[in-house]
Amino acid sequence: MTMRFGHRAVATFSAMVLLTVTAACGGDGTAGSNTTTDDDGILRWGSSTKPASLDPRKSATFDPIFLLEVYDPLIRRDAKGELVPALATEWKLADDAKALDLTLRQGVTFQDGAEFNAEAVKANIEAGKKPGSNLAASLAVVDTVEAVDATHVTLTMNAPSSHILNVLAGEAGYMISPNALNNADLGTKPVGAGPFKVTTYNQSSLIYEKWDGYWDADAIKLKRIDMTFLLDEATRLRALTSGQVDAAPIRSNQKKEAQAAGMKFTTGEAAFLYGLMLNTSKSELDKPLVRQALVHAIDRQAINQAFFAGDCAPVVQPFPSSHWGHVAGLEESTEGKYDPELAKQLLAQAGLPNGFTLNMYMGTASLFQSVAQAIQAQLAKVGITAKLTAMENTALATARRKGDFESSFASIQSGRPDPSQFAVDFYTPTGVFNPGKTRIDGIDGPLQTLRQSADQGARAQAMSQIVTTALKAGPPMTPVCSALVVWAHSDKVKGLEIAVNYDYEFRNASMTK
Amino acid sequence: MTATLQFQAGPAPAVGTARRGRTSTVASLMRRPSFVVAAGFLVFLVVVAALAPLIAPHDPSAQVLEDRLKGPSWSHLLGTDDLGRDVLSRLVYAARLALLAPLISVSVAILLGVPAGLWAGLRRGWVDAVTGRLSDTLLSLPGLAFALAVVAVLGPGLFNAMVAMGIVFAPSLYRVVRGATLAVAEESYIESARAIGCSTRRIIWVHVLPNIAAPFLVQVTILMGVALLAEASLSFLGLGVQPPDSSWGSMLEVAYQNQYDAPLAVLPAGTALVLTVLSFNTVGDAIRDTVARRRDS
Amino acid sequence: MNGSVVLRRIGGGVLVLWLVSLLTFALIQLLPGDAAQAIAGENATQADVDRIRHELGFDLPVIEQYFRWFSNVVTGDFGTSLYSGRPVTELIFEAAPATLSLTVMAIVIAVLVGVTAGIAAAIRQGGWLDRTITSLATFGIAMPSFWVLMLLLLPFAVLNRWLPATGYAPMSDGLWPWLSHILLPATALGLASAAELARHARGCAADVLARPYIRTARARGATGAWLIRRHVLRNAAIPVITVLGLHVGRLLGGSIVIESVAGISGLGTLAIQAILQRDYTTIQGYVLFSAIIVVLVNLVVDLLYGWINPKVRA
Repeated sequence: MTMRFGHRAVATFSAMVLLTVTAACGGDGTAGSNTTTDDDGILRWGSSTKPASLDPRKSATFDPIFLLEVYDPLIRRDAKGELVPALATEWKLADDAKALDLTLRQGVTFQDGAEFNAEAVKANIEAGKKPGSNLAASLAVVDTVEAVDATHVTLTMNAPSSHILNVLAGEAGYMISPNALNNADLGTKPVGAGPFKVTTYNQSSLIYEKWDGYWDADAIKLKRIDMTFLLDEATRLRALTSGQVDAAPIRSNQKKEAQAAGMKFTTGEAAFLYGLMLNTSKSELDKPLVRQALVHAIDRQAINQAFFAGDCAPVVQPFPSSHWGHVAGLEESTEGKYDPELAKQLLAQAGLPNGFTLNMYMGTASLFQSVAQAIQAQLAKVGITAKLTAMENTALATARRKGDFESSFASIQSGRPDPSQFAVDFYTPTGVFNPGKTRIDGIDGPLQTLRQSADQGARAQAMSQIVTTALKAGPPMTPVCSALVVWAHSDKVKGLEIAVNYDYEFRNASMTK
Repeated sequence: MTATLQFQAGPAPAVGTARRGRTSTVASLMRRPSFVVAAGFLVFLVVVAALAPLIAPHDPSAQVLEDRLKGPSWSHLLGTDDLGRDVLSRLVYAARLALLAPLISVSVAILLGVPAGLWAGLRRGWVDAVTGRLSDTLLSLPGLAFALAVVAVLGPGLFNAMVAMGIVFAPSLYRVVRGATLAVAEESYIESARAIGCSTRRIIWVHVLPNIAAPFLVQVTILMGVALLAEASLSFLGLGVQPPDSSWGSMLEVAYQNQYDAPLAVLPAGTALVLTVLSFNTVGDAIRDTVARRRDS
Repeated sequence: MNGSVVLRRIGGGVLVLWLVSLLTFALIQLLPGDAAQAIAGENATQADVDRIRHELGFDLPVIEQYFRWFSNVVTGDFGTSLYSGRPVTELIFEAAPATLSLTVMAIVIAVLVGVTAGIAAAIRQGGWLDRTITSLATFGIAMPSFWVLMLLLLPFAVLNRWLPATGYAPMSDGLWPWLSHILLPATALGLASAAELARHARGCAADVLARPYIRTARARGATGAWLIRRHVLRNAAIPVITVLGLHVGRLLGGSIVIESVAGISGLGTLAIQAILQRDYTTIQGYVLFSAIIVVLVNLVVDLLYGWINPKVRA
């Protein structure tokens, strides 16, 4: 790992060491003010993942944290999940939700000098729809893109798509310079219109430098972001506590150690959860009773307390409690509660009184291995024998896409690009994460409302219906718990925000002196 | 590796006194306290591994999530791991792998290295040259690196990893066997035996093998120790034993992940590893020293 | 030293490297499944897959593939990473300094600690120092290096913050940052070698000290320090160097796990990532590079050995 330990950093670190060793009594121990913003602030971030690609068309689910520095989206989704103007200043969805008019910001240029205009937007969306792009599925609903004039674009959809706003707030709306769209190395040398440029990207680090040509450059308070890839949890925490990085995500049960080292925390809920993805065409998973049994067999509270220090709220649904798609009380309901006896009864009813065998894939990170083993033991109690296999992320993602798995314990995003996409991906027969093509009755109506209506109230109600119906039908994905996202950092770091929909940016972050 | 150095330091054993020498070699071995303790420990390990279900106080897979990462107590003499499982029981069951895994490696090494070494030592010629070069090649690869490459191709798993290590060990065994065979082959009585028409097989069985037994055994014990450490390393990296099976190496990895909550959790598995490797090494040292002394006397 | 001996040694090294290249190449050919499909990814069309197959030469006969690969390797082109598309040589040269720092430092520590301890033990054979050092050495050989690091980290980096717990700082950041980061990992890595060196150094030194000419020198009043410098060190140097040569491979291997525990992004981390990502070109490059280092070091050791001890013949 190539650490850029400038003299200032060495002095700071030495000072910290000295103070920690000599200051026997408590107190902050930090000399000097921590309220003056450092205009040359460098944020050193300990990253828990590596990007699959810095090209939004090829990036992986958890990559927006790497992309949003370089690319500005058409519509920005802030930390609370609200849509605010970015490269598009206004938008209007037609009443039938089949057309969208965008008004674009003027005077914006890309990092390579290309002009941002309607033609650029058109080129981006059309490129995103091409086969080979991960965005093709979510943009499939877009029929035509028309550059009405330099600052107005109209999208025409082939079906009611009120969710298109959220889609354009996600990777599909991250605008790439039209001159760079066909760059073979875009995945490592991204060109966007965002606040930072990538200056170094290698095995161990990713470095962003502030770009003065950004249209909103005054709002950006960081001069540089140095990301170091620290995939191992224990190593990442140690890098944090020893001062090699300023901020990093940690697991809740590491909070004690972080606190002892003087770290502060920024926490927030996010639309992702730990759960068991099921391939309903394999093993006995096509039987709804079996899937219901799985829901009842898992002791979510025990897992929560043991591995997440109580910060992973048990859920039997895809969304956390602060999300508009959450249905209160499901976890204690008859369909959702922890009840191993009931699980055994359901299995017997399904004709499997002696249980059955299930292959479970999991990632290589220690968290997944530990929790998967705990789940294995819980399933064994109701007669289900789970066989565990650890697989690396890329291989795991491929296996899942191809349907080459029976079950997989994973962390699952539920909110991107729009919560309705989750329902489509998991609960509809053509869904990308529904290899068994299971049909759940009663989903179609509410799904249509989700896609057609721009009224948040109606959408929330529709989503409730979907979530409850799926649970009652034996969900094709067994939720376990939704973890609080915890970022630990030194008190010099300000303005960190946990975005509920994973739109992590460091826009408002700053370092104090 | 110490393996090759062994070859340089190891003398050819006394020839012609094989049969009588063997019995008193064992006797003189038994007079060394270090050998007795070390061999005793290994025997103890075998017994523990065999009788694991009887000895282990708890079911090694029994998870009690509420009791995770607890320190030593009367019910859990060595504490619990991150899933609330009894560390002592897991240590006991993992002893099986601690013996089995090196056995796989060393068996592969023997299969590959011994016949080649015998042939190279007896027949010489082009076989000797070719196997010599091959052995040099394998020796120039960092063992673990080569094992990683094999694991990359065949996939993670204890068996694959240990076979890979076995291939890595074969050259050192080959060298030892070849060297010892050469020393024996030079004795004139071998020439006589050949002259009167003894088959090569008989020559090998009756004359060569007993005389190379000592350096061979020394090398094998060293390799067992090295193999155990290699298995621990690979399992620590997640490329050896796969969950839910566990070996001392993977127990170490779990302990390491939770070092803050349970700082001493790295001690049980680590100590078990050290003691076992130490025992292997001591047995090997004792055999070598005893044979050397006999030769010198 | 004889010129032809040197040439023969070098020739031997080259031959070994060539065999390693064959082995590495063969290893990848043993891959189950269709490599081109794996590289192209799941979103690719059949046309994409065929294109990649053609580009990477998988459609050529094996011998031709080997020659293509080999001629690339010899000119320094180890191919591109299947995962990131970056040249493998670039990845290796980025990762190498950390691993080489670690390994070299481990050797330095091993020699300083091991040889000193061994000689000290030999001087007072049978004494408590000798017995302590010998026992410690015996234990040291049996300890897994990553376990030693875990134990060292606890007091030095986790419970107290005297030294950094993770990471690597290149020399360009300053000597102390580099040293403070590399000290604990290198000590852990070098300990087993130090233990072995101690045993060997003790044996050799004891041997030398027992020789008649030493006794004569002592009788004539020569002091210990002079004796050590003049005779012991020079004679101990031979086996020490030999042992070191043998240890390079083991140290490179051990550094893989140490890097993982210490959070150092070196060759070992590169290898593990490559394995997990099925990045076969990088794995090939890594194995080849490691072999080159080991062969080079052994070559140097052989030549040094011959130079120090002119009695050695090929």
